[in-house]
This record gives sequence, structure tokens and C-alpha cells, in this order.
Amino acid sequence: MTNASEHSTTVLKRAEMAMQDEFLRKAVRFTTDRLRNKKQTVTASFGHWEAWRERGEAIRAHTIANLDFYLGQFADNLEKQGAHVHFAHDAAEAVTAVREVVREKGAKQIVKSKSMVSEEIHINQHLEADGVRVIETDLGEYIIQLAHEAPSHIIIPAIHKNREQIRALFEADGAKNLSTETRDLTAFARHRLREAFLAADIGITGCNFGIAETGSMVLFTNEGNADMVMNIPKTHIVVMGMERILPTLSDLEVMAHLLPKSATGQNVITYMSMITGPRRSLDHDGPTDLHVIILDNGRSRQLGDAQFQAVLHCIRCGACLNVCPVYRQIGGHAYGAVYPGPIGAVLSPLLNGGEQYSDLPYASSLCGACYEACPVRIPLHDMLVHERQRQVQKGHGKPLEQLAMKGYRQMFAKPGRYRLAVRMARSFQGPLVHNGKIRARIGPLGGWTASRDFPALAKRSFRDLWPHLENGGDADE
Amino acid sequence: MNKTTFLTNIASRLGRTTTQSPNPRQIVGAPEFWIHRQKSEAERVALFREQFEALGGEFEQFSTESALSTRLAELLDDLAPQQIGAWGPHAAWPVNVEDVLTSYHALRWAPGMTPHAFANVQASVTGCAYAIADTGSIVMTSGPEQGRSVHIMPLIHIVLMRAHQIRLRLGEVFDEVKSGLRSSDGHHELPASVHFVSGPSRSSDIENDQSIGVHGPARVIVLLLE
Ligand code: SF4
Repeated sequence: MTNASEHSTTVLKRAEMAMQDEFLRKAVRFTTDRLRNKKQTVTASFGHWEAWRERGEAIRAHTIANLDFYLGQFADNLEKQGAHVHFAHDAAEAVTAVREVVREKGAKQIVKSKSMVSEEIHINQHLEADGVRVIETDLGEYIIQLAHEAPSHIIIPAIHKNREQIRALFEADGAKNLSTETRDLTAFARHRLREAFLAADIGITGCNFGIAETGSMVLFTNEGNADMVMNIPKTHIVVMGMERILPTLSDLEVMAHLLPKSATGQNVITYMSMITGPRRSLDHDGPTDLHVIILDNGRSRQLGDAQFQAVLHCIRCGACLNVCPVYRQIGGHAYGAVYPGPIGAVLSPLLNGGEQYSDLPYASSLCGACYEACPVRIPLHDMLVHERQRQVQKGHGKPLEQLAMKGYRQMFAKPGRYRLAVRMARSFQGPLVHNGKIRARIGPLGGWTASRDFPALAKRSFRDLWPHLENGGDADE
Repeated sequence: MNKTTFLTNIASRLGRTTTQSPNPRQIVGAPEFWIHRQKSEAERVALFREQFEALGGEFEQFSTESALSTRLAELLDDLAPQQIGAWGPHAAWPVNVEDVLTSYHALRWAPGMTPHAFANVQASVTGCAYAIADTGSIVMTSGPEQGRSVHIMPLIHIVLMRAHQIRLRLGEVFDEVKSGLRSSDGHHELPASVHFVSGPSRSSDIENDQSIGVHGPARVIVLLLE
């Protein structure tokens, strides 16, 4: 997979590569536009969108602020239903827990439905190393698994593949005389993956929400593959981040509106699947064994941190990606981490600590569009600023960056200045790329490009503009 | 890592202790304006239909059980599936169509059935627990005669329902599944699976082109009895 090997390159190098791929850029822009426009239409017709967002924020904030209670309640209820609950401090513990179940069952083939957390712990590589076949069954994930790549978008993982490439991948997987018609490609995938579901010993899924009051787990999908994964094999393993909890089913009603509307502009998700425990004694299908692995992996470090606790409110809808001018230009792979876009730029360095992703907070224009798109009102742009400050304090920035950062440290020091900068950044939301090159004129991205030898520098840099702005001038001039 | 250590770490980071109850909260669930809406049964049926059709679902309405049965038989003739599947005879059928299912030799969900047995079923006939007008959703609950495989596996899913099963919003369904189903010892016992289905299976993973039926049913047809 690409993740491991890409750590050695910088976000800039990867962005540069992505920028040269015209198809990728067009595809990402097309999809993000489409999702963004659909979202605007659906939220407008739904009405009271701001009231719903506030609701969403309040519910998530309360849950996370009392997470020990609700997570404990969730686990107790799961156990009452007969599920096995495992707590994993880090990725390695989660992998061990999965491996133990696989070994105990003597499993040879596993089907999976799309799950970011399982990417986070790199479970596929570990299981494949043990000689277990792991098949991704979400259409987009299946495509990129055949291509041996990583997902490029939270919601649409194969956003960067065209239909010719998809046909070639399917032919390599056994398809004969396939056209490039969507209908034909889909039919092949349905047939192929059906065989996989029926032959699988174990199904692995993530979980969008765990409901504390009932111990239920809820998955949102459009294709229906998760229903196969969790109901056909005898054993079902759920790997979930410890923060995916909601106190009650009533709270789920709010999320069931916020999530699909924000993610894809759908009024409702096609399948909302709620499972409570393994199959009942009189049922004849559904898993007989249910294992739930609850993962920390750096999440608890954010608790009690006033600047970053709210990152755990995230419901992984991907709306912040679709509005991000940087993501729209460089696509998901350039982030070189499991979680791309603004949420990834915040989350990846936080979860991993250390220097590994310390350049990601710079892959942002701080325009605030992500915050405005976020259905649970996470102030991602503020967090990106705080993260830059911390990276610099820790001395993680590279020398050139530290030089470039001096100007921003000055800027971030006073809230008034920062607000001004954000206001100014907003007025710069126009196209950042011209003739295939970034034309960043605003401070942070200007600094990012300047220190990284990126072509086409701004006509007027942020610092050129600064004295003028401080005197109340307009950045558009 | 054990549960206690895991939860204690979380609590201490939050400045709490694990024995503490959560802080009281003002905000639970959907906004009041949403909860307090009222609609008559006829309005709920109309809204369900509008929403369900917008999702690509098909909807037909009947005023008698015999008219619905006749239409079901006609539909099965038209579709001519090689294998028809259906819930078991003692499942919570909202409409009685046993005659039709028997004459079409439907494979019935019963003890000993597995997903594999239903792998070649092309069209299934089931009831449902509820429907939701706001979102055009059908609510499927699992049980001994209501296998999940019956409705997730086939290409075509025919759902029978009655008008009175349609609720306005999702939250009402949650309240009812929670309070309606208690096990003998009194604790909440939800069905192992509660599945909210809103139209046919869809994907936009190939160049953003909408494709239908990639995993689940490609057609979902509701026959409603008033
Ligand atoms: S940060 Fe907000 S907008 Fe971004 S994925 Fe999370 S919930 Fe969605």
C-alpha cells in the first residue's frame, strides 16, 4: 500500500505529483463540486440547517465530554447481548485482537466493508502476511484494492480512477469481454463479490455510531455491501474508534440527517443498518459471534485539551474535503495519510504525534470553508493554526519553514490579527491554480509554497500585503 | 488493554471519575420543531410515496387485500424470476398473500435456511415493521421467520405494507422499537437487526456515474394496502 512508502516524501512532493495528473485534478474537482452542490440543495430544502448543526455539535460535545460513561455503558450493553468487547490502546493491540479471532476461527477468507479505522491499523497487510485473503467489497475500495492503492477520498475512494482503468483491473481479476459501461462493470463486481461474501469465514466492518443506551451499532452505506459483510459470515468483527458513540437512539435521529446530507447531499442514506448483538437463539442468519474492538490509538490524548478535544466530535462525513480549496487541487493521496483533507490535516499529526505528519497542517489555506461545511461545527481552521504553533514550538518545522513561520507566529499571536487573516483568506477563495501551478497569494499557503520550491509564486505575498492590511486595506486590491 | 484501565484513562483526561454520571444536558435528539410536526395518515402515505419514488423506489396502492394479491401475482408473472423467496408463513405479514406465495413455490425462510440457500433467489416478497414518510424508508426487523438474507440478497425486493405502519419521522420508529420489544426479564431487547432501507442499492464509485444494484436489490417495489 502507498501509505507506508509515502511517509518519506513531503506533502509538497506528493502534491506536485498529483498536480501533474490532469485526470486526477479534474476528477477530484468534478466530484467535490457535485457533492458540494447537492449538499447545498438538500440542506436548503430540508431547512433550519444551522439549528440542526448546533444540535449536532451539542450532542457530540456532550458525548465526548462524558465519554468514559457512555463508552462504558455501550460496552456493558454489548456484553449483555453476548458480544465480545476488546479495548485496544493502539493499532498493535487492535491488530492482535483481530488476529486472535482469525486464528481461533481458522479463517482463510475475510470480507470487509469500507472502514477508515481498519486503514488506520493497516489490518489488511497484517492479515495478508498471515496468509489470510482479505477482500474489500465496497465497489470503490474493491477497485483500488485491485490496483494496490490507497483511498483518495473518505466517501468516494476510487475518485481518481477512470472507467478504462477500472475495466483493465476487472479483466485482470477474471472478467471477460467487459465493456466500459457502468452497468457492465457494476454487474461484474456484483457477481464477483457475491462469491466472496458466500465463501468468507469472517466479515470486518467499521461502525458509524455505537449507541450507549442499547449497545447497538449502526452503519451507513449506499451499496448494501456492509449488510452482506455483517450478516452472511458466521463471525463479525467491528473495529471502531472509541469516540464513535452516541448516548441514545434519539441522538441518532439527528446524525441520520446530518451525515448523508453533508457527505453526498443525499436526503437519506440508502441503508442504515443497526445491529444489536449476535443473532438471537431462534434466528437462522446473522453472525453467531460478534467481536467489537474499540480503539484509542492517540485519541484519548486529545481529551482535556481545550484546543483539540473537539476533533473527536467528527462524524467522518467528508464535507470538509469537498469545500477545501487545497484538497480540490491536490486530491487525497497527496496527504500521504489515512485521513485526507482538512480533517486529515488536523487528525493525522494528532493521532500519530511526533514529526511524521508535521507538514500536513500547512496543506491548508485557513480559509475557514471546512468549518462552515462541518455538520458538527468543528473549528478545523483554528485547530490547524494551533497545530502549526505547536509544531514550531516543538522545533518540528524544517529550517526554511521556521523562517517562513516567523511571520505567522506574529500573526497568530493576537486573535484580532488572526481574525483579520481569516477574513482576508476568505476573500481569496478563488481559483488557486493557474496553468497547472499553485498561485497562492495568501500567507500560510504562500509560505508553504515559498519554502518548498513550488512554481508560480504569488504576485504579492502575504507579507507584502501585511502592512497595507493592518491599516484596514482590502486584500483584494 | 482491559476495560477499566481504558475507561479510567479517558475519565481522568476529562477530569472525571468512572463512577460519575454524565453532566446533565439540555439537548437530546431532534429539535422540537421537528418533533412536534403532525400529519394525517393520508398525508403520511403521500409523503412516503413522494420520497420513496424520488429515491428510485416503485409504489402502488390498493384498497382491498384481494386487489393487492392479484397485483402481486401479476407482478411475479411479469418478472418471471427463476426463484422467488419470502419470509416464513408465521412472520409478521401485514397482508395475507399465502395463496400467491404457495402457487409460485416461493422458498420460505425457516429453520435450517442459510444465506447460501437464498443466493439464487431473484425476487423476494416480505412485509416490513414500519415505514418512514420523511425519508421514504422501509424498516425491516429480523426474527426467526424474517431472515435478513430474504431481503438483502435478491435483485428485486417486493415489500407489502399497510398505511397505518407509516410513521412521519425516524425518531418515532426508534421510540417504538425500544419500548415495544421487551424480553421476559424486562430489559430492552431489540431485534438483532433493524435495517432501514431507502430505495435500491446505489453507488457512484465509477466516474461518479450512478449505478444501481451493485450489491443489494436493484428494484424495491412497495405494495400498500390502505
Ligand atoms: S471534520 Fe466535520 S466536515 Fe470534516 S469529516 Fe469530520 S464531521 Fe465531516
